[in-house]
Amino acid sequence: MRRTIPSLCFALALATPVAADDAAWSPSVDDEAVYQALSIRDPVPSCEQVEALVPQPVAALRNVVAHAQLPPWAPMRAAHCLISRHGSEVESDLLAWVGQEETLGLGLLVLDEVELLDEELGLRVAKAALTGPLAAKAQERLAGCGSAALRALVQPAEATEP
Amino acid sequence: MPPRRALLLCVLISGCNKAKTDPTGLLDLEEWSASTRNGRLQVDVQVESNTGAFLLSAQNEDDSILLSVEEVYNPSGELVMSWEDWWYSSEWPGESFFPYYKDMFFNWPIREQDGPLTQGKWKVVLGAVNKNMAYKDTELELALQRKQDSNNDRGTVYIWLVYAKGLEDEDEIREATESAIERWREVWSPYGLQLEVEATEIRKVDPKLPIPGRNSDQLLEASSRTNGEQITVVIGETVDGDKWTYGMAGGIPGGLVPTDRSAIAISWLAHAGTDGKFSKDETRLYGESLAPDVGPDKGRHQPLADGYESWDALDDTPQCTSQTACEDALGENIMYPYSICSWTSCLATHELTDDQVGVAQRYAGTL
Repeated sequence: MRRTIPSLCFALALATPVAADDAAWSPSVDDEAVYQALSIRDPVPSCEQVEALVPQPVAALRNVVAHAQLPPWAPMRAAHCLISRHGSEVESDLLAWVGQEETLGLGLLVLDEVELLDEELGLRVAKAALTGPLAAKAQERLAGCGSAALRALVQPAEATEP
Repeated sequence: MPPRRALLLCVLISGCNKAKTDPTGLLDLEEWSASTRNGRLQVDVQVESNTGAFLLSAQNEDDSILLSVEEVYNPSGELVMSWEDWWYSSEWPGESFFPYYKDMFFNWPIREQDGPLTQGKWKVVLGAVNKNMAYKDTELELALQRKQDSNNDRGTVYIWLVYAKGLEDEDEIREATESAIERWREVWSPYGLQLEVEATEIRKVDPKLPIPGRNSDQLLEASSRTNGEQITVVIGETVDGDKWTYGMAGGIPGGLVPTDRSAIAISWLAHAGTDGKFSKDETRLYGESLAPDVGPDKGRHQPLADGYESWDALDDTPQCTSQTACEDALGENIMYPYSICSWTSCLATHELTDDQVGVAQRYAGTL
């Protein structure tokens, strides 16, 4: 069960082994702080709390998405923070996530949170999803959007008053 | 919604699949209605020589009225536990003594030091308050389940595993869930806890799962189809609309009668991560999430919370006060609330203390 948010002193670094195929990269102190905060199982810290730990949160969040393999919810939480608070800065990431099967989890996350993006950016991302391997899932999810512009991408034009 | 009405709703729905596992018969069920007077109600519980534990559930329809246990008296009339023991304590015995919800589940005994469940008439005093903690009168639907099994060394937990719409047909999800259950079985087995799992899909349950207890008709319906002894675990894509809450138990302890809080909601996607596929390590972690998420439902709870300032009420989980001390003492404990990970790996969790096992074995649904 969720209880109150604890202090984020967990963010202090632990040892950081890196996968063989990722050997050229090693996390900075800031990356480590963000990664540790996002790894907490319960209760979940907010994006604001996580980002307050470091001066350049976008770079650290992007590194967590790109390099953290476990726990699986850490990069997903990092991606949520990027989508909900820094969408325009990471547009190329968003387009990549919805455009390939290899990032299915991130693609589903973007599609479900597409309305958190600026409308124009959301439309660009949605259109990209509809032309890629996640098209069927995008159709289903965009049809349930509150935004008429997003729904219009997957539904026939809505009837207008005579 | 009262359990009987929920069951009727289920029966009226065409194609309503219900559990096929035969109940053991070790758990009886008595249901009735009663009104509080001045915001309180005394419930008498007759305990026989073979009664191992009892689980009292109470529900009221009014969202603004919150229920809790105030006092527990043994057959000699002695007060053995009171809400006042816990309200200002840094130790936490579970939710029953706190008016958090419009329904309430109370399993007794909780811990070994709570004393034996002596034969005779126990009294449990329930309280009903509004959000300002003022007593309010209400109509209660009550259910009492008594376990006719006093063996606290071994027990079987019966799981009603519900896939949300379409998920049972997804090979990736079903196979990972089956492997995760094997890991869960492996983790629990050394502690005398066996698992019996019956899986089904309920197409009326949307994969976007709500938080248990938020007036979810879907979780109510899922829990209304058990055989009465099973704990409901629902596998969906998300919990509470996000993709990183890996699971949430409805209560500590949880209920076995149908309510929208008598379920554990689990997200497959939070465990599969960015690629939406389960690696071997992610599957292991999935199993190690199921074990503690059903753990709270059975009454066990996290050994610490609130930034090392509150702890469970068990004697053998240390009241550690720093990250290092807590990780050293509890880092491999199933109930430890933080994953100890380092980008590409996480420490396996597989330990339970004797007192944690005892709480699980005393749960009425451990048969």
